[in-house]
Amino acid sequence: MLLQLNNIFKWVNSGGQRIFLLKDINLDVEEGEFISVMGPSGSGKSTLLNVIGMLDTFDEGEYNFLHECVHTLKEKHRANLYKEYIGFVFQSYHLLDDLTVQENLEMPLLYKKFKGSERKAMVADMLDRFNIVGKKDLFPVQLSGGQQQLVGVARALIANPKLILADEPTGNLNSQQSEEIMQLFKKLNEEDGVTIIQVTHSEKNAAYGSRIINLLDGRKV
Amino acid sequence: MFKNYLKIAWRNLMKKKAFSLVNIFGLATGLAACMLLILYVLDETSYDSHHAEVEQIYRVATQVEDKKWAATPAPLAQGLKTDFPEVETVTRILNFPNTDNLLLENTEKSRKFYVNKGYYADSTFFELFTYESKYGNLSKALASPNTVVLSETIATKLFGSENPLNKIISVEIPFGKLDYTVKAVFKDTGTKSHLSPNLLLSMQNGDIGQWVMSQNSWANNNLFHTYLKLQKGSSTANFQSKLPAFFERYAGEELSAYSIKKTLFLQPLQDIYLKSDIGNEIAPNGNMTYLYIFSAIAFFLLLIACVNFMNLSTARSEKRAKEVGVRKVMGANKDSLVYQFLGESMLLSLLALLLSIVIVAAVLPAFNAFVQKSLSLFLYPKATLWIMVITAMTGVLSGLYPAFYLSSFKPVTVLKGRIKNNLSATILRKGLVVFQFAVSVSLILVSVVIWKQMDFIQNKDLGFKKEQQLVIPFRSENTVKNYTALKNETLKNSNIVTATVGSTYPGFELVSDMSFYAEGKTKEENVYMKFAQVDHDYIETLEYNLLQGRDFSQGQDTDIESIIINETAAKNFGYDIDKAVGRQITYEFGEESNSLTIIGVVKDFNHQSLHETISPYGIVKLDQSQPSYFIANINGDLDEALAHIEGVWNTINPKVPFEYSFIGDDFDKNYATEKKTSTIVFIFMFIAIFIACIGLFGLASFSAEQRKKEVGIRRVLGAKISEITLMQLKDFLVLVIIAILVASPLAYYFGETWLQNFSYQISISWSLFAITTCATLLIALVTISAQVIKSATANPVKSLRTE
Repeated sequence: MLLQLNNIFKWVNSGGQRIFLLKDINLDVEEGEFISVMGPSGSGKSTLLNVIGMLDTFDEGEYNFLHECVHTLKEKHRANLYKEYIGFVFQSYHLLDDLTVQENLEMPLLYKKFKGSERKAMVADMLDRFNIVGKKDLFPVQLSGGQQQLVGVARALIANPKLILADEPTGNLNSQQSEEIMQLFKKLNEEDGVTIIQVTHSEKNAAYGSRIINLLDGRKV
Repeated sequence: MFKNYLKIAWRNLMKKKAFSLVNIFGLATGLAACMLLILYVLDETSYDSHHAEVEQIYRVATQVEDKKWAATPAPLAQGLKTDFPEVETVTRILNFPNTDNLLLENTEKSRKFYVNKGYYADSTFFELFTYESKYGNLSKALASPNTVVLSETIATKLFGSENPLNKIISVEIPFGKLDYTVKAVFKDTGTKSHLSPNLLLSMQNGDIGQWVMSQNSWANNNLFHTYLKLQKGSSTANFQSKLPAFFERYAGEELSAYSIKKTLFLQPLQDIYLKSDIGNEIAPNGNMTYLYIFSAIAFFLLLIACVNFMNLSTARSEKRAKEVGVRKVMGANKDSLVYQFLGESMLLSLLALLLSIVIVAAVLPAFNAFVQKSLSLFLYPKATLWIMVITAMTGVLSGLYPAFYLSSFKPVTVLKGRIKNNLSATILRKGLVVFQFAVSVSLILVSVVIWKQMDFIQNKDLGFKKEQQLVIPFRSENTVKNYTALKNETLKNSNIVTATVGSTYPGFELVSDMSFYAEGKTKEENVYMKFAQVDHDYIETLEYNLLQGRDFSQGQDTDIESIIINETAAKNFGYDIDKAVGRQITYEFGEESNSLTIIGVVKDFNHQSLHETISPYGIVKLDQSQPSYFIANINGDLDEALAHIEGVWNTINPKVPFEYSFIGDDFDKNYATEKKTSTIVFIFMFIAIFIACIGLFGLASFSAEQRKKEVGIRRVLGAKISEITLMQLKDFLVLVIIAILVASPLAYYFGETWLQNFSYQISISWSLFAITTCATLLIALVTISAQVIKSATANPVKSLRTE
């Protein structure tokens, strides 16, 4: 068992009324799963992903990640936990414009206190694995959207996370680029055993996953 | 990690070159100004610090009622030494009246020039004041008669690289020309003193020795500057408490004969240069108040530069928000982000420091010329240290706010969309802009007040002709003797209307004064009057307005017992102006009493600078043999007249260098400090405005960025460009107006305080504030309009498009 959500509630107060963003979510994720989260706009997909990624808090319920009770952990421990085990992929890539491909890949390693030589080896390995060695000195603006997302995925993977959280990773890409990224996810999941949770609007992309979770108004349906 | 930060910081800098340049340049300007002022302040505060055990050295000064006087009677020094065992050393310095310039000559090499700051000194001078010897034994040099000690600068000028020891130089003063032996040379580089002597003459010299020895009055001739050194460990307070009894013992009887109450007080040597501004200072001193003002200006400049830097950095925060979000998601904690942003601002301030060093190096020569100092960048290790500390503090201070502001962003929100406009941050930013402008506006207002006052004093009718009045000092016996010939020859040129000679002229500090009393009054009801000793034609030459009576005339012997007084004097004596002529006034000198007959009354004129009100003033006939100033009233071609006089001078007084000045210039020298200050205030006003404008520009671009969406929506809904422009301008102009409201009373207060230095002042009117307000608004408008118009005309489709 990688993670377990038990009766998760998240709400905001608006005009004296409680508006639920997440309502009684229960979810068990095993290692090696590839889950697609679907639902209409505002159904709570991204919120759920952020809660799993520990970027956002929840108001009620329990969250266990690798047998740690996330809901009782202090901010710092929580940060350490996701730093070590989770990689993020974003719809709009969120690469740092001022850094080259190589430096973008290196950045997470800096915060994980890897030594210089180690970092170099890991970055080189990742560039190699994603076939982007020739682009290592380019800045994000010099790349196409698909290539940028490729770098985004590579960056998420570089520290060998157990879980990848992808929030509409193909939302800004054309169909061919989408296809490539989804193939990559599938390969990572099958060959390397990386657990993946993705949020998507596309049935086609959802089909890559082994399991689909549908959300409506913060509730699992 | 560090490298990564550095890289990001550098690339950020390079990406927004103009923005970074403005930011760094603003800070560098602030730092450079601060550096210059620190150097200046340190230099001013380091006077007389080179003397050994300086905290035990004091100058003894006297006080009569509220008038303080830096010099004492001659026997005081010996009296103190004899009566007080705790007085280790005493020394006297005599700056004899009318010897402010001495003509030095090395006949061997026929080098001849005037030198100032030459004093007669007791042989103990070098026991008290620490100077390093270049040649000879300083402590013994002044012990024998007819000796002189030179500063290294003067020695080099006289003798070149030669060793001047035991060589003879001639010193020419109005009493004669004398030969003295050089007994020592002291090093004068790196030593700053309120005395800063160029040469010291032994007080036992032939010219003055007899006179000095005969000075045994404890009441008269307060011409000797007395310095003493207390024994280590002795209590100054204790010593001071014994002074009144001591002085009463020796001087009490004599003083009560003159019905004067006089006390002694001590001035710590190190305080003299900056804090003493009393009568008969040996040389013009610095001014502590101005130092405070300059320090305050330096502090505020740096502060507004920092504020600016903060504003510009936070203005860019939106651009950096995404970076913060990504870094946080990638595992950065708040600390590392704080360090990153602090590091960046440190880097920027370091760059600013480097730039500011370049700026300082570039402007230092001009600054030196202006403040008449020889400052250099690394003159004071203390200054270097200070500047490093200040830079580091600037980096931290100006980075602190952006660092904490940026690092507090929540990754989920910044990565999802826009950061919310934090209300407190907005208020803080606006407050900072108000602060910057308040400082600038205050400086503008104060500058305008200063400028108007300076204009006023320079154009005020002083009651005499100030321009085109040539003055030639008679510094030697021969020149005094040749006066009549000089006058006759000079007047042969038609450009020269009249010429005369006098012991003084307006604007020049008078040394002669005496108490007189009117007919039917007693000695106790006396009027203290300053007086000038002049030759005939003096009134005509200076174009004083003679209200009653006549000028002195040639060949009238009774003129010796006559006096011409000013209106104020007449009033103080209780004489009506039209009835004063023919009345007498009496003075007592020792046991004798003498009377002078008033032969004329002149309209009040400003015989002193406009710092002072007009006091009773008398003009008496000059005794021929006295040293004095030749004055020629020129009307016509100045250059021609000057050439003529120089020619005449060189024929009549060969071998004496031709030296001249103009009364107008000499008079205006009284305002040197004010002029210097006003220039400094002007310069720093411009710098402050410049920096504040950068700040306003930053805020304008920041706000334009933030209101992009709002402006877009308004445009789509039909708002005109002009309406949007006005809406945004209004926001900023309100800030500037608040700043003006805050600054005006402050500026009024400072302006009034400064004007208190003058007896004749302008009044600060509301129009001044109106002009300043308009000027400031205009400056602000020009600064922000580009940004505002740019944002108003931007394509709304672009600004409304979301990712």
